[in-house]
Parts: sequence; C-alpha cells; structure tokens
Amino acid sequence: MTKVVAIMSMSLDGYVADANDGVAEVFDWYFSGDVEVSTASASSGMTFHVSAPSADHLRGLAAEVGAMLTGRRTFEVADGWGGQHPWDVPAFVVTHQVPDGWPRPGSTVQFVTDGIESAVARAKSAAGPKSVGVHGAQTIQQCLDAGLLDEIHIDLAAVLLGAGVRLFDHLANTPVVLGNPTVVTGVGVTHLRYPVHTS
Amino acid sequence: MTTATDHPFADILNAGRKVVFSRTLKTAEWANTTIAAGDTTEEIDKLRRGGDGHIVVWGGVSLWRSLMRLDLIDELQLSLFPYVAGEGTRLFDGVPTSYRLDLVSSTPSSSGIVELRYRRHREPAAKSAKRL
Repeated sequence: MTKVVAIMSMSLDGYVADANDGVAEVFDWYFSGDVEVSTASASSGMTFHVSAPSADHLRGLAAEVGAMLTGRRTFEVADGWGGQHPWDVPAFVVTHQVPDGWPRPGSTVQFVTDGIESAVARAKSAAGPKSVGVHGAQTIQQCLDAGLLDEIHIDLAAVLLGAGVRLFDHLANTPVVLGNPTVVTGVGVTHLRYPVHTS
Repeated sequence: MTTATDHPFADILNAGRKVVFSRTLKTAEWANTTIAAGDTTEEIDKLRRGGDGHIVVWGGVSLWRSLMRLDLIDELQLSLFPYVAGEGTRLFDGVPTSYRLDLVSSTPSSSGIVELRYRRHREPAAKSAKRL
C-alpha cells in the first residue's frame, strides 16, 4: 500500500516559516553537521551538510518517497523547482488554476485542479510501491482534515520563532490521535515520525 | 498532595523549598513554602543568589510566559504528547522574540511521549554579563 507521509521542518513553537515566509531558521539543521547529503536531481539537486543521524534519516526518506505533493505556495516559493523536484520524483501541485507557462515540456511537475483527494490519488499512482511525500502547511492540513495522511514526519528544529506560518492551524477534524513516534536525535533537530490513527 | 506521604514525589516536595509567585496569596500552609510577590526578575535574582541548585519551574502557564518574556529560563524540559489538539492553550503564546535553542536530548518513551530537553542558546559574552 502506498503511504501518504507529511514531511515538514517545524520550530519548537509550531511554525514552518517565519513571519516573512522565511525558512532559514527551521532549515538550519540541514547545515549543522559534516556529512554531505545530495538530493538526486541533476538539475535542481541540493547538497546539505548534516550530522550522521540526520544523514541516515535523509537518505532513508529520499529512497522511500516516490512522488511529492505540494500546494501552490510551496511551488511558488521554490520557483517551480526549475521543472524538476530536487528529489527527482514527480511533483503534484494542488492549485485552482494552472500557472502561466506550465506544465513545461520535459518537466515532471504536474498540476491538479480538482481537489486534494484527486491529487492524492494521482500522486499515489505515480509513487507506485513507494510513499507520497506531502509538503506545505496548507496541503498537509487539507490531507489531515480529509483523513488522507498515514504518517506525519516532523523535523523539529531547536528554535523558537514567535510568529509565522503554523503547521497545525485551521484544522477541522481535531483532535487527531497519533501513534508512538520513531525518534532520531540529530544536531539541533529531532526527527519525529508519527503514524496517524484514522477512525 | 500537600499532606499525602505515599506519593513518589511526596518526600521531595514536602521537604524541598517551595516558592509561590503570587500577588494575591498572603500565607501558604505547606511546609517550607514562601510567597514571592515582588518584581519577577528581582525575585528570581534573589532565588538565584540564595542557593546553588537548580530552580525548577513547575507548571503554571502564566508564570512560564512571564519568565519566557523576561528571558529568565535557561533550560526547557518538555513532554511532547502524540496528539494534534487543534485548539486549546498554546504553551509558547506571547513569546516575543525568536531565538535559537541548543538541543540537549530527545528521548522517546513507551507511552508515545517524547521528552525534549533544550538549553537557551546564549553567547559566552552575554552569559558572563548576566552573571555580573
């Protein structure tokens, strides 16, 4: 069964971006060690320097994910990943309207305009036996509300932001009971992975 | 809890020195309990100078927020429950400034609670200035 996994870096006080949409603080841990990890894409790949436990964790995640699902805001902030998601998997963007100039020839970024359930279904079928990674606060909230998430994966960054974009906001179907997490302690970050108990 | 002697915490709590931060409470019945009614920073400073152990802030989200706003907390020990509440009282509401923490440890337990321990990240210069 294809799992749907929310993946997000979050501050200790629950923010995924600061008040100016900045993510430098919650992404600090990507540069907190001396083990090099590169993402797969030849054109949009990135190289991180993390601690050994975080490196194992990142490599495991990259190997597991077969498709990404994001919202329009993440797509815009990432500048469309240059047409190819850094993890070298197809990316599905949930949006009301396909942006001008997209989809681009040769790009693996696709757009879904008929809602979150359809987007999850398409991403699942593209991921095959692998997992669908869901990224972006609003998209994760939509998936959680619709009961579409199997796991929540949080990289809990050792920082307080005080303001910004909250991950767990505007939720309609709470409380959500989670299972016991797996916990990996890195440098300045705790990688938490919770199963979602769906009723 | 003030009189029970069979609770695992009883010996520690009954014997330990306790300080209640309150502007309304006049007397406290519990043994070894005093009331701090003055300026929070000055009261904490008095406590710091009066001993060499740790000062444990145990509960009370209002006191916690006052201490966070005054930047008087050196270490945070938090229990993270496997639960998305969606609404309720937020621990970090009213924290005015953004700052970095040093992660000391994160430990899972069989109940699904993750015990998190952080230290306030302070530059060495600021630290020595604080102690003057």
